[in-house]
Amino acid sequence: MYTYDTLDKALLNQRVAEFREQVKRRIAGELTEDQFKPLRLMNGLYLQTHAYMLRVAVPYGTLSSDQMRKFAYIARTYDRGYGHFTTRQNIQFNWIELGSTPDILYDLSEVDLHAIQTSGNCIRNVTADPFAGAAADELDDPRVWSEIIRQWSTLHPEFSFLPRKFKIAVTGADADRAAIKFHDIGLKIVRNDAGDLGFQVFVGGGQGRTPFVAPLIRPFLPAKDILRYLDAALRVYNQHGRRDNIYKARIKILVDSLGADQFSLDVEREFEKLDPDLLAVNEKEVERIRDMFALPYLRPDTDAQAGLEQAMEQSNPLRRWCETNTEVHKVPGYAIATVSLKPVGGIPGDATADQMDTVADLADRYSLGEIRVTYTQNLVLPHVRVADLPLLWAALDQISLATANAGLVTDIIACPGLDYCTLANARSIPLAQRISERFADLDAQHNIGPLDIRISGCINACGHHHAGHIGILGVDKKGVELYQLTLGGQGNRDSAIGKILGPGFDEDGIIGAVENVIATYLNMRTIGETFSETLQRKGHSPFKERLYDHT
Amino acid sequence: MSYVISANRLLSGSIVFLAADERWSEQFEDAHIFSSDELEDAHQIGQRAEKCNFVIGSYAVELKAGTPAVPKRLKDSIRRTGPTVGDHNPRTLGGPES
Ligand code: SF4
Repeated sequence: MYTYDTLDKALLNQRVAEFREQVKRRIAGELTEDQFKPLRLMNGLYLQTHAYMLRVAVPYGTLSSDQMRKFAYIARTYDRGYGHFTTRQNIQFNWIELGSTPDILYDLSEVDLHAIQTSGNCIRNVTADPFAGAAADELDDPRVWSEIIRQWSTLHPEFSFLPRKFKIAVTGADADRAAIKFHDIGLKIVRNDAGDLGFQVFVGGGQGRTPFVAPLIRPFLPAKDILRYLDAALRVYNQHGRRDNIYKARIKILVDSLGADQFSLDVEREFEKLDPDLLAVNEKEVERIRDMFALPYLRPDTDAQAGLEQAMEQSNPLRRWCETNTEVHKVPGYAIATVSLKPVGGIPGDATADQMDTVADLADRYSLGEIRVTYTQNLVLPHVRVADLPLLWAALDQISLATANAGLVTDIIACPGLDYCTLANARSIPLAQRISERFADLDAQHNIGPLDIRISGCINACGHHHAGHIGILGVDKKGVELYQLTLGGQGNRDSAIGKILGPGFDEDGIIGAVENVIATYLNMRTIGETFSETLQRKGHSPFKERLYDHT
Repeated sequence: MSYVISANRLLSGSIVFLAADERWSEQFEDAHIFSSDELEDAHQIGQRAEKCNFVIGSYAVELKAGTPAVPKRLKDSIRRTGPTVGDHNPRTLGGPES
C-alpha cells in the first residue's frame, strides 16, 4: 500500500489548518457565502438537499483496513452511522455539519485521506481498475501510474481552473473494469512490439448531456512521457475548451468539434514544445512507488480449488457467491472477492459504520489488509486465499454483505437522485430498490445472467445510465418524475452508449418496462446468450414492440 | 398561489422554514404562508437572514392549492419529510441515529 511521504503529510496538515481558518471566518461572518462556497467546494463540502455533504476521495479505489475504519469512525461520530460509496470511487457522508468539517478532515489526514479535488474544475481523484495488483489479466499495476498522476495533478497551478472538471482513469488490464473510455482521459497500459511499457491514450469520453466514447488519440505513448503528454493535452484543453457555455465546456466537446485527428495533432505539437527531461517520469520514483504496491510473496496453492469444490458441494449459497462474486487472482490459490453493497431492497453503495468496521477486520484477516472500491458501488477484497473463501463468505453473510449478485440484474448502479441531490429531476434509489426486490430470487437472477442496470436522477449521468445494458434516466415533466429507458450501453472494453427506446414511463411503468425488457430477452435468447448478445443480434425493435405496441 | 420560504441553516445545514416574526423553524408546520403579492417581501427577509449568516440558499417553495399546506414539487416534499429511502428524519440532524 502506498503511504504518504512528509511532503504529502505537510500538504494535508496545511490544508486542514487553512480550511479550519476559513470555516471560522465564515461562521464569524467575515466571509459571505459567495466568497466561501468555492473554498468549501475545494475541500469537498457541498450543500445538498438535507445538509452538507462531504465527498472524500478513495485514491484510485484503494483503501487500507485502517482507512476503512476511519470512514466508519467518521460515519459514527459526525454523520448518521453510514456512508455512500459513489460511482467515482469516492465516499460521501450525507449529514455533515459545517463546524465539524475541519475536524473530519484532520481525522482523515491521519490516515492519508482527504477531500482535495473532489469538486471544482480541476483534475479529480484518479480512478483505476479495482482489481489492480491482483488481476490475472493485468499487464502492469495501474495504481503505480495513478499515483504518479496524483502527485503531478495535486494542486497543479496551471490546471486548477480548467473550463470544467476533468476525470482520468487508468487500467492495466484488457478487460476494462474502470470504464476508461467514459473519462476525459482514459489510459490503458500496453506494451509495444519491442516490449516497452506505455499507454494507449483515449481522450474526450464522458456521459452527461452529450455522451461520447473516447476516441484513441495516441496508440502508444512511452510510459516515461505520460506526464509530458498529459500536460500537453490539458494545455490544449485549457486554451481551447469552451468557457462560455457550461454544457459545452468538457474536453469531449472540444475533441468532437476539432475531430480526434486534429485534436491529436494539436496535442502532439504542444507535446513537442515541452521539455522532455523536465517532465520525464523519474524511474527511481516509479520503482519506489512500485515497491510500495508490491504484493508480498504469496505461496501458490494449486490444491485449494479442490477443497473449495468440496465446500461448495455442501452449500449452494456458497457456490452461487463464488460463481458471481469471485475472480481469478494472479497467484494460483488466491481469489479476488467482491463484497456486494447491493443487498435486495438496499440502497446501492451504502454501508453502515459497523459494516465498514467488519469489512476492515475481514480485510486484515483474509486480504492482506487491503480493500478496493469499485465504480459500480461495491467493495472488493483483492487477495483472499481460495481456502478462506467459505469463511469469508460466512462472515460477510453475518453482516448482510454476502449477496451473490455481482454483475447480475440486482447489482444496480444508482446515483443519490432526488432523495439527496439538489440537481436531480427524479429519484433513483427507490427504483433500484423496487427492481432489486422484483428480481430478488437468486435462481432467477442467475438464469438471467450478466445484466447491468444503471439509474441516474438527471442528465448529469452520475449513475452511468448511458453505459448500462438497461439505462434509466429520471426527467422532470411538469413537476412529475418520468423515466426514460435506454438499451445497449456498455461500460467495458467495448464501451457503447445506450439508445433511448421510446417515450418515458412513470415510476410504476418503468418497473414494468424493465420486467418486459428482461422477459423479451428471455424469450428470444439462444442457449448461453447474454442480454447484450441477444440485443446485438436482434436489435432494439423486439423490445420496442413489446413495450410500446400495446400501450 | 401561495408559498413558504425555505433555506438551510448555515451551521448545521439543516432545512428550515421562515416562520412568523422572521424566525426560522425546522417544522414545516410553523412556516408562514405568503401570497404571490407578499413574495417579494418574503424574499427580502430571506436575504436579510442570509446576510446575517443564519441561513443559506433561501428560496420560495410553491404550495399546492388547498389545505393543509403542502409543497407542490416532490423535491420540496422530500426536503420537508426527509429522504424517501432509508430511515431518516430530517429533524434528527446532529448525531447518529438511535
Ligand atoms: S445524476 Fe444528477 S441526480 Fe444523480 S447524483 Fe448526479 S447530479 Fe445528482
